[in-house]
Amino acid sequence: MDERLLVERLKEGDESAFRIIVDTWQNMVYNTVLGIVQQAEDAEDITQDVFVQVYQSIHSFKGDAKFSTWLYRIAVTKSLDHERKKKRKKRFGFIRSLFGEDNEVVIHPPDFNHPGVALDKKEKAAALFHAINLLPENQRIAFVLNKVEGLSYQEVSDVMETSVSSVESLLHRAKSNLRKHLEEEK
Amino acid sequence: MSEQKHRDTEEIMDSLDGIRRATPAPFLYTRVKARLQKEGRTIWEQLGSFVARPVVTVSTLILVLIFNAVIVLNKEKSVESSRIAITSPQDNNSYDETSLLAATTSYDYVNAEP
Repeated sequence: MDERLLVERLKEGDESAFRIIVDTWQNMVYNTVLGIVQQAEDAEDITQDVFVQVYQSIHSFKGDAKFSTWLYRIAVTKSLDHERKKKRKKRFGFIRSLFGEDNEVVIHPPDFNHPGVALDKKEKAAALFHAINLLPENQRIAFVLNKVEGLSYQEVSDVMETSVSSVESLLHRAKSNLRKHLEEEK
Repeated sequence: MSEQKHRDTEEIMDSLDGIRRATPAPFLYTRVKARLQKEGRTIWEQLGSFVARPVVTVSTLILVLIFNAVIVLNKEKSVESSRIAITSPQDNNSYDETSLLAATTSYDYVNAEP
């Protein structure tokens, strides 16, 4: 069904249009979020949040960009917010542990295994995802959208609201940083 | 050795080639709907849960205490200054002036003794 029509129907409060939207774009949103946060449970939660926001703020979608681009932006923003919150919590936990208030055992998550990676590449992909986590935010987003979601440079630039040349430069820097991290770890 | 290292790195870099999209657990729509219903509470329910937060309660209590302390301190100050004003000689003069004015109201003219 035409996405413009779906959006119009959702704006009118049509529940079935919302169901079609969730069913059509859930994999796209989940895969993007998972690529950024690298935790299945968190990715599920954030994906739900993304669709809740879509439902609540559909009236703010003016149709200047493609609907999928708007969805990607919400997914990326929510994922980054989640990452920042997690970092803040970690920092706060560290301060509390200095004062001896926190006796909880810090659980370090195991290497992330993306379910869409072929079995023979799992180990290498886990090493790559570990290195992706060390990249600065912009480079990480550009790399995930391009490599994990398979978006073209033009599509990445639309999502990130920047020029294609900036995306090229971001991806170039991301790749060289990843190579550096991977060689350091060996 | 470095040739091998370089080759390994490149293999890792290419490990995401041909990756397939991950899919969420089934019935995502049902869970999204449940979350929407949970968030669609009335304004009074939202307000109630906000007020019930310990941080909000404690900070409101502190604000009320500070407000009370400021009022009490200001009252004490004003009582003290009015006491000074009553006992000052300047005030005696103004009292007399008002007494004079009070003596020449229309009532006095109407009820003037012959």
